Amino acid sequence: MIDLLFSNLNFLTIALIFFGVAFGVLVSAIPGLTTTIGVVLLLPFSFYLDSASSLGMLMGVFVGGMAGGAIPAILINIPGNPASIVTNVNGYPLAQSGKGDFALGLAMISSTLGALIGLIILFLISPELSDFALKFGAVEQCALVLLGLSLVSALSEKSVMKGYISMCFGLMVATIGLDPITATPRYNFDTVALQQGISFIPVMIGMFALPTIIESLIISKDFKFPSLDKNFKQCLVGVYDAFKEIIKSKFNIIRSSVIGSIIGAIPGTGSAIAATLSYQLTKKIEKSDDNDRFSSQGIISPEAANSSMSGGALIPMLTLGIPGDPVTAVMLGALTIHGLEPGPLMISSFPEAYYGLLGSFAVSVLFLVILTLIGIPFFLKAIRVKTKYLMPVIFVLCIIGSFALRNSMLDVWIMIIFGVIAFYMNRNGYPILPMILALILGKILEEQFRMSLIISLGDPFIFFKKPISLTLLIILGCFLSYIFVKFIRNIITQKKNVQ
Amino acid sequence: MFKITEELLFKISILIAFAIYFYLSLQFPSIPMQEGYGAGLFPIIISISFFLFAIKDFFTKNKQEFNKKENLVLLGFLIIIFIPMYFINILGMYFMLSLFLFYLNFVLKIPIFKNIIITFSTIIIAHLVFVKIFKLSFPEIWFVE
Repeated sequence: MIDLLFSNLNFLTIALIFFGVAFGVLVSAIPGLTTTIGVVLLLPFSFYLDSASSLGMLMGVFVGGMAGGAIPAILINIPGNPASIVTNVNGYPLAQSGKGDFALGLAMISSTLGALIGLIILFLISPELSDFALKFGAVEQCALVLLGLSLVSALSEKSVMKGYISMCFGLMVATIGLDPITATPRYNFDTVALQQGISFIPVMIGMFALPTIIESLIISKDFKFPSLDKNFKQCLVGVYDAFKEIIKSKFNIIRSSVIGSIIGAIPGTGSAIAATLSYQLTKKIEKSDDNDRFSSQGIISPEAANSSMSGGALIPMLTLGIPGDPVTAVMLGALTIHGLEPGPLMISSFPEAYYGLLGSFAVSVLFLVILTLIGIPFFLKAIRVKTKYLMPVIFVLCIIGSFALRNSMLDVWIMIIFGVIAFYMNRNGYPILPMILALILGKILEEQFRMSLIISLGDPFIFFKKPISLTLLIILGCFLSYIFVKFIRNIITQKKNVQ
Repeated sequence: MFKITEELLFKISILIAFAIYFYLSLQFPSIPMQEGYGAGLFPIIISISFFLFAIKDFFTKNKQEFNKKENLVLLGFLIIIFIPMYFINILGMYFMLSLFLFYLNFVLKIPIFKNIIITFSTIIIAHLVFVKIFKLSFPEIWFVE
């Protein structure tokens, strides 16, 4: 098993993983850009690289991206990505008091350790879960996809209703093209191009990257990073002090990382929830009177949690084929480009790819350690580039990336149209992730749903007759009831407030 | 009486999308057949769920005001993008990308000299990376032929 972890590693793969980690840290450190945009921009290169190299590169971006968001959070009080949503609370005051290098050191080292613990949890849990998932037939898979989609829709944004509308929209788009059972052409308006359906790759590129570009055209914002006023050697001293503090906070790291991995494994929760929850728990547990001491814990906790989340988020994607967050959704796209199908059979059917992915994760963590120790001063210089210079180049990469999928301009049109839709969805509070996930999983949901009906000779109660699907549906029912009760309570509270 | 807001217009467009989708989904058979239910069953189920959520959402309070200036910027962006894309076979990929780059740099208030340098260097890098290394074939430019 261990030999499979590193069997795919050659010079090109290692170089691309290093590039991915550095790119991920940089992209998420630049305000306005996110890890998802970083992964989406590199996705088109997957067509031209072998599976190990391209997946290694994307894994590098994922791991690096979770750590990089802390840089702007600490230096300019603006989280680089949702994962660093609470890092600025304690990080920014530390940077203001001249301890920016120490705060960055804390964030980067705890991110590295969090990612390592996330990897260990992924390594231990995913084969077990995968073995269990082998028992899943069409009925169970249909119930599982439905549960995954419902969780993502309900948890991703404030309004549950808007989440479900977004999911239904994704399912609608997924039905375009040939029907999976009888191959009847649907919604193609008698065109050959739409008969193959709408590929989710240009949709993802458009929906994740284009709204950022359009927003930059409407509101031009540039952020000014303060100088640390320290040379390279002084920065290293700060990182060394951070390392000593981390050793004292081992329980906080382990606790936060475990929380991060568990939250990450639940589809739809995401890194922001992982970081906030572990931060709140640390606040309750660490009742220290020493302000400096709590400042350190307040950085360590969310950063360890958001990085370990990356390991947790890979568990449902690799073992059940259900991506839990935008980055794993893009990675699922990369896997399908190479003909690999994530799900219960992935470990037994593609052991080299599966263990290779875990190996790339381990190497990414190693590179993150190196970049953490020596790279902080370099990153501080590199992220000073103004975002307005990057946006036009990102737009060109989006066009070429969509075109490269099938050498077709139709995919470029699709990318732009869905980008504009995503822009308006963002503005009006409709989450994008449920739409993307529904588009990816829609075909599987329909196929398994109709297969189940064929097996049961048209009896829809088959979903309640199988123990696993019944359990999944009961979980779904409990979850929906909880949301409904919460909704009713909100209405009553609002009425009381009006009175 | 509804006040015309951007959110309201968005919700109306959601309902229009639903109506078209539902109408089209009725064109496919959804009755039990030899190979299970027909191709229309799943779209009809989606339509019903979509309608229930959309109608509930329609009557919630609208917050997003209509911002004329921002929407005009977006409209300008789309016109500049869509017209050259429609004529891609005449203009070629390089010309189209250069046009987009120049326009975006201009809107983002990048000085003209820097704009030209960024446009040309990006096109050259795109050519070297995607065409020379990755062997991607762009739609050809008319004057090369």
